[in-house]
Amino acid sequence: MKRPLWIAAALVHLTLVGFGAAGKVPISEQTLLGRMVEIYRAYSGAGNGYGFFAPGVAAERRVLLHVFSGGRWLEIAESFDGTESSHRLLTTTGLFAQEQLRQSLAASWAARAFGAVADSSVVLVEVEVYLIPPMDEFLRGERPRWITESVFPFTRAAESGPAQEPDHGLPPARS
Amino acid sequence: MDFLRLVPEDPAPGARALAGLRVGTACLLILQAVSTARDLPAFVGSRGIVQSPVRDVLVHDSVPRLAWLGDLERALGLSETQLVFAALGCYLLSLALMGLGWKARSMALVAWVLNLTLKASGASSAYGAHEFASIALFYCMVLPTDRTFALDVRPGRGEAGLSIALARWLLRGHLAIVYLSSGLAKASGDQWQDGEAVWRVVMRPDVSIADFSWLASASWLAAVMSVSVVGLEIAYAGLVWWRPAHPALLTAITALHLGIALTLNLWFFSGLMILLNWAALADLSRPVQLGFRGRRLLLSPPISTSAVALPFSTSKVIP
Repeated sequence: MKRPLWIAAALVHLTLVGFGAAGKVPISEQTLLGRMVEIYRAYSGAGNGYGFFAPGVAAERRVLLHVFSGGRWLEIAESFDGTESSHRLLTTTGLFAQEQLRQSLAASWAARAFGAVADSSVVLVEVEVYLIPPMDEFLRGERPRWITESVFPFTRAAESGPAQEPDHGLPPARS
Repeated sequence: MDFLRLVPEDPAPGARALAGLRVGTACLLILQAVSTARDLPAFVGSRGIVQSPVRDVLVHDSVPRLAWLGDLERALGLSETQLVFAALGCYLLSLALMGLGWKARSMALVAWVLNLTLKASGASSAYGAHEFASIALFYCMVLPTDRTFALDVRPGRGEAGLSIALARWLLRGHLAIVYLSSGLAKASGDQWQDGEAVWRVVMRPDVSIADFSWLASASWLAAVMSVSVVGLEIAYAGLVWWRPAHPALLTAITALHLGIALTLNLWFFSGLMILLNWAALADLSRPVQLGFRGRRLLLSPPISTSAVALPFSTSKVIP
């Protein structure tokens, strides 16, 4: 009796994996069963999609923080020494490709900058994208380059309290 | 077709393959966690790069995260950074015990929960390696990965053939879905049809292994590579069920992921994919002999009288 149950469980799991790969929700989460299925998918990884560099290779992005403090502009570029941490940072900056997240993400970065520079009053979050020309344009002389995609301005609210030290200090600013 | 044979003749090779998944996953994830330990608060802390309200929309609300431990944090008088590192320490310990095979399935459960917690807490920076880490730990927990290469393997513990065979069949099914969906998604894009995708990958600013700008003058090569990747991923879904194709398939997919690791420095992602593929496909039924300085070294782990099998077949003796 145990064997058929295990086979059935495996088939159900693979079915959910298939739904996840297709980007579909098998049962609406509005129902109790749907809610349980979604929790299982979230925990087991069966809800994941697998569009690695698909349908195309997305452009790489980076964030530059311009902080106005003490009458001068400081430029801060977040970076990490380790390869894996750099990958994580790239993943975060890559989220700027999702339009619905841009403003919130920029606000997060700005909040971090306000926390790092105590007397800062203005922060500009500049998002740059690395444009790679197609191979035929590269042969004609075009070269990959960073260009500014968007800039998000933020000011410190007048009623905000003293700045708190961020958990991970930003790299030293340069003016 | 192989998938109809759910009871193998000798479950021991399958047990070794699954144990390799457990041990390899533990080693990889320990290395991954240690390599980012110093920067972890920036990714999972409430005042890190991306704060909680933004991160929370990226993950299902049922998945645990460090913010849920706020009450515990206050009760113990810990700072958030201390809590982060305490969770990391528990994660590393559970991985180590899982890898050593001490209560492996229970330790896999602990590692899996902590992995989900840390991943959800840093959802804005979690990428493919983190997703497959969760999947690998899930399988280490539910599949019979503790039948061999484990500290607490008991002599009387049998190797349930069906469960090991079904486990490997399940892994093959999952990987088939992964590669098929990936391949079809790539095939639907223009970049993977004319080679632009490979060009854009190797010209990324984080690719430092070599200068690949010469590829623009050999666009046909980029196109061949692009089509080959897509073809391999789509073909995988069918070949995975045909045992005679397993050695070639395993070699090809391992080479693909090694290439990704070398070019893009995605070592942990590639390592996990290679581990999952070897657990699903590797034929560990043949013993191996390695020769060195006139001596033959027969590798044999303390599991049974059968020799350990590695997927190499060299038996050259160096005089």
